[in-house]
Amino acid sequence: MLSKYLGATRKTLKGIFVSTVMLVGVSVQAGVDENTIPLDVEKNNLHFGFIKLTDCASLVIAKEKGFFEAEGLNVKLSAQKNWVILLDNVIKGELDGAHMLAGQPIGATVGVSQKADIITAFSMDLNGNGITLATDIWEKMKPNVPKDANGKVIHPIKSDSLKPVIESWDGDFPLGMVFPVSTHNYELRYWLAAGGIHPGFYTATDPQGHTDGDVVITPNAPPLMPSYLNSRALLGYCVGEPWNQKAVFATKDGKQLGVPVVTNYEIWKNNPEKVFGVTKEWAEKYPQTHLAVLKALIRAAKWLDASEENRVEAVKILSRSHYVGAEEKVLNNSMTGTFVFERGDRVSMPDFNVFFRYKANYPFYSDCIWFLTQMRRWGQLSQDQPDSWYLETAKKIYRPDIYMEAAALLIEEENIAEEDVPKQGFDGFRPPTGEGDFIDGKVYDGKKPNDYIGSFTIRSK
Amino acid sequence: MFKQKLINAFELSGLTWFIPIIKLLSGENPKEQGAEILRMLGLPIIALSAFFFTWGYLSTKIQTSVGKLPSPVFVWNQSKAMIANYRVELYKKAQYEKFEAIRSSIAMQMDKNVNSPEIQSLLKDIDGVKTKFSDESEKLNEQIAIGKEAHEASVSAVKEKYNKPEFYVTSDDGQPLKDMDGNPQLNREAVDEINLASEQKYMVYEMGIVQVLNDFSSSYGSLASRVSKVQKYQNEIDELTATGGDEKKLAKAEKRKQTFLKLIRKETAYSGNGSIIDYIKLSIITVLFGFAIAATVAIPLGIICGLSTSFMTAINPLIQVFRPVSPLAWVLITIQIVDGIFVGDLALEGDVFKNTFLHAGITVALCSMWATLSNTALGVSSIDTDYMNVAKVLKLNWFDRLFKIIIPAAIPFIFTGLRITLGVGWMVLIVSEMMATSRGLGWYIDQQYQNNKVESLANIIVCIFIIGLVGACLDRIMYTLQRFVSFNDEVSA
Repeated sequence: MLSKYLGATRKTLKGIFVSTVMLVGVSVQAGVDENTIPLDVEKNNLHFGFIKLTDCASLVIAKEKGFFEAEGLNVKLSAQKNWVILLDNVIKGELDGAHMLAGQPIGATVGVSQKADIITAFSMDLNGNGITLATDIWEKMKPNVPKDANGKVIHPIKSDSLKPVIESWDGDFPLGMVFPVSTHNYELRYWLAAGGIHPGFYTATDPQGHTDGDVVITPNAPPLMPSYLNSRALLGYCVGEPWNQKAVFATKDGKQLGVPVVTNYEIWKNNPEKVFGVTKEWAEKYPQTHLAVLKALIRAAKWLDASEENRVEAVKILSRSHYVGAEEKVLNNSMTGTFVFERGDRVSMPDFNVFFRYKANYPFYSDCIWFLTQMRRWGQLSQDQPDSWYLETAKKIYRPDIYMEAAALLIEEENIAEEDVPKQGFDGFRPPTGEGDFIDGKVYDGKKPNDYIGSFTIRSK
Repeated sequence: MFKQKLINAFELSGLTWFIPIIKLLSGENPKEQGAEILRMLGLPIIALSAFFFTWGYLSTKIQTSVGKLPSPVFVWNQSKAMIANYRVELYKKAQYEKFEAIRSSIAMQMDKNVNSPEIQSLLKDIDGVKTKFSDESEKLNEQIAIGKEAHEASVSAVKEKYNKPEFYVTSDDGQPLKDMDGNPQLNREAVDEINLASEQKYMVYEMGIVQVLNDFSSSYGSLASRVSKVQKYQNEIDELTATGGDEKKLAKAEKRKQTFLKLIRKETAYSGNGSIIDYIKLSIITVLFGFAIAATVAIPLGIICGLSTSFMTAINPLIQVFRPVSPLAWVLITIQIVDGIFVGDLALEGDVFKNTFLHAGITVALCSMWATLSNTALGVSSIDTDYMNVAKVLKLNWFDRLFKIIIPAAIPFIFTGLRITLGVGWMVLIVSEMMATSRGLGWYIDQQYQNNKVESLANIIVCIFIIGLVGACLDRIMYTLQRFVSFNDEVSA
């Protein structure tokens, strides 16, 4: 043995060995395919796309930890430049499927963005976004924010305290989001409107969504948002991680560049964020393959939520250059459940990124309908529709039936437990939201979308 | 004479600084040649060292949005890491081919008899391979551990150096600030230095190989377990048929067996992460493709323009309008047109020849063809009237006049145009790859940009040098061709 020549004892060497395996991040799990019963897949070489964000983790883990391989799938993952190109590549068949914004399959199907029939049977994660404002704006609004006895600000921070700042603001107040049908757009508008700030409507003649707005909201590439904040092209933005934390780490004029004021967990508790989308045509052509992919993804999601160690290992894998590629310390924050608002104000948020818990992967009709209500609310959908239309549309896009089929197979294999997923025969609607679930305290019942839309004062008529 | 031939070749390609070396080696007037070498090599070396020195100095001063500007040393290490990744990719490909060979021979044997001794011996081979892998990775891990220790020692040395009160940040009223973890907040210089030290790559090749070994070890593991599953179900089937057992159970076992058999039979495509060498190759192929399109369109068009002033007058406005259009504008419309034509089953699915290949290639052609077009037109229209008079005297027909007089006379001009076209095309290619493809150098730079850290900034700098070097090589090749076909030496380098 080499150890003799090195003069190291076998024990210490073993210790080093173990730590290096952890370091390389490939401690192979023995027997992921032990009790897997693979399906008769139509296509075994698959190509999926993703955007460099931490919430693509399920796809990356399914590949790196052998869950895809256990199903007999040989998967190639490629980072895509932006959401438009990603969707484009899925539509034209260059990609078999992709990590998508929850609003993308919906927007594509109802024709708000590029028109195409995209379906999803797998919700990739819950929460994970935040709204960050430039530090000087935060300092202006801070006196208006309610504080506790120790003078610490009380979270969640509502936009009421931002309202006076905007009213006295000279000129445009530019804010950034990711994409017109992204969760970020709806969350930012929801948060603003909850405090009486008008975020602007989309109309037939104004596809930018600026009509009547107190602020100007524009789509921007996530990695560029901190730089835009620095150059004052934006005064705030709503984006996923690591780009809120990046503003905390970055410095401008001796202060942190931006202050995250609210997370989307506080705007809507356990809201759906990304989904795994494929075209309807693809799903019909390769049904067994689709099931096999879902099985692997569900197991990967379960692995991600299984322990703290797994999250740490996931961060190591995600920080590789061809995946998310950001530094481990930046990814670590959100992935291991902490969030820094202001320096020194590190808050533990175990539910900041949820991949599996709370039946996160189930594609709830009520989630889909919520996005439709917001599209109607902001004028992306210009026509009022009956409640039945909302349900029919949701049924076209969200496919819990396929998810449940995959889950049933996994339960049979004993790879997941029965209580991990909703019961067979579940109608696909979350119960009406509780008092504190939305930041404005509104009750959302997916079965009555029109009542919900009608309850808002700021909405497109 | 060989020496003279070599000198001529260097003269033709413009690599004139080799000439004194050859002359010196052949013992020709050492003093004079030595001075010549000093001048031809020494001066560029001085300029280069000045460049690197300035860069090294600036890297200590310039702040980027991701940290300090990487120094030449950091970038050099990063380029070595990129090559190491390439070697890992090669190794992975070789392992993949071995794996596929074993898999397909198992599949072949399985089709004959699932319990044959051949299969048992193949399984034994797999076990052998797995043991070999774990031995190899243990050895590598020992090396990595040593490398890691050295790396960590250097990082903590840097941390030590900067963990001093003079690097702490204080607020306006003199209170020391805390960082995220409650430790004293270091100033930007200290943070950047620590980041640089901890992001320095080490043992890239060894870690990559360990990863490949682990991946394939698990692939072999699943293959073996699939084989044993097939055998298990086969045994069940045999037992059930022997005892005349339940039809349903039999059908189920048969179905399971078939599923696993199919999995073993299925070919898996190679799915690598790609490496810098692959991207360079692909970019060169793409630019040559675009260049070929540009040449096939622009040369004939240029000849017609040169021959007919009316035609030239007619299309001149179009040329003037389209020539200055930026590649960023062309690439978007190209993407949409190409994707409109090659869609669904028509979508191109070759290894190289994909839709994205056309996007980039066509954009290169659209942006770069104008130089060749106008130069060809100029060359054709400015042919010496003497040549044309000779043609008239000889009563050459139109066809002969074109191919024996006009084109040969215009060739130096055409090549001047082509050289500019290739140069412009290479610049355009990087931009259009950034926009349009998911491969190639331009795409790689964009990906690195999105990674948003010092290490990826260093990768981008490496790519800039690569792009420059490849562009210079392409230009040298065109220059040589240009010299080769021109009548006189009046070609600018």
